[in-house]
Amino acid sequence: MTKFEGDRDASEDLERIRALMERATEFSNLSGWSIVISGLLAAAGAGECWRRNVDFDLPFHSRVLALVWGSVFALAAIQGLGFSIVNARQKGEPVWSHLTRQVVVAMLPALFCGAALTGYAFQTGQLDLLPPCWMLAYGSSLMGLGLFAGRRFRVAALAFLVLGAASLFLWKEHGLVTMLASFGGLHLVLGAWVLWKPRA
Amino acid sequence: MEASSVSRLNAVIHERARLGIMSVLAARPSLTFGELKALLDMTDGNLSVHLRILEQAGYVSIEKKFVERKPQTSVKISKKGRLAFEHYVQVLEEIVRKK
Repeated sequence: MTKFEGDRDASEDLERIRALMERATEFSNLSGWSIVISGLLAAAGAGECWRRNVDFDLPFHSRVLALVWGSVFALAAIQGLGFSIVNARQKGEPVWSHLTRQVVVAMLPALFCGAALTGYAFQTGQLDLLPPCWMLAYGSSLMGLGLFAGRRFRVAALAFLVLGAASLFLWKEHGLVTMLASFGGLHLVLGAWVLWKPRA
Repeated sequence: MEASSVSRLNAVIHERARLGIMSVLAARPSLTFGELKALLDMTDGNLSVHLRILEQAGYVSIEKKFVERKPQTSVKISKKGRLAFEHYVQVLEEIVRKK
């Protein structure tokens, strides 16, 4: 006959089931270091633009901006992917799991919007739209990731969205500072948070 | 606590480790042995023993294959297992309500 041993009871079991089900659907292959590196790459990108005296409010800077920020985003994506693959392998998990596919599907539409708006901004020479558009698209994408990766990613997503919207209406002309504060600063804070508490 | 409700709890699932395995498989229908081990913080031996019992009950199916030339064991919850788990949770909720 079944019975509850020791202190165990039905409500404790229900709570444990709920916690385990939540944990099972949590995407935990993200590395705090990779987020910190993304922040440093964005800071390096902003630094390189300052060094070359290039900013988002001047249309004839489009080639340099495309080169610098294209490199920053590509390097950030490659190293982030690399860290996630290493984490998954260390835990004996498949790299392309059902959960990973769900995370990618949640993130892709917003990233696609960001890419489309980037193309439009370069085509029309409205480069000052780029930082707010990138922040809004990335923030939306991060919110999708946050559904699987925990509250702190949703907090960071909200910060990107608020800063992106504010930047669009209030300080479009300060693109580099915005990029440094958001893709640089917010990533450093989020990365430090993940390193400090790996499982939120 | 009502003894008759407790006695209706499925004895195979009721064991603490197996309840953990069924809980995570209810959330993610297919998991590798490594994922299960990490999620539940169990040893290889302990996890194998409980998986075998769940497999014998028809609640999970275990498949062994090679991925990138490395052996990989994946565990899936069966329809019978899902129904048994859902019934187990219903009985637990009933017990809590009656308390």
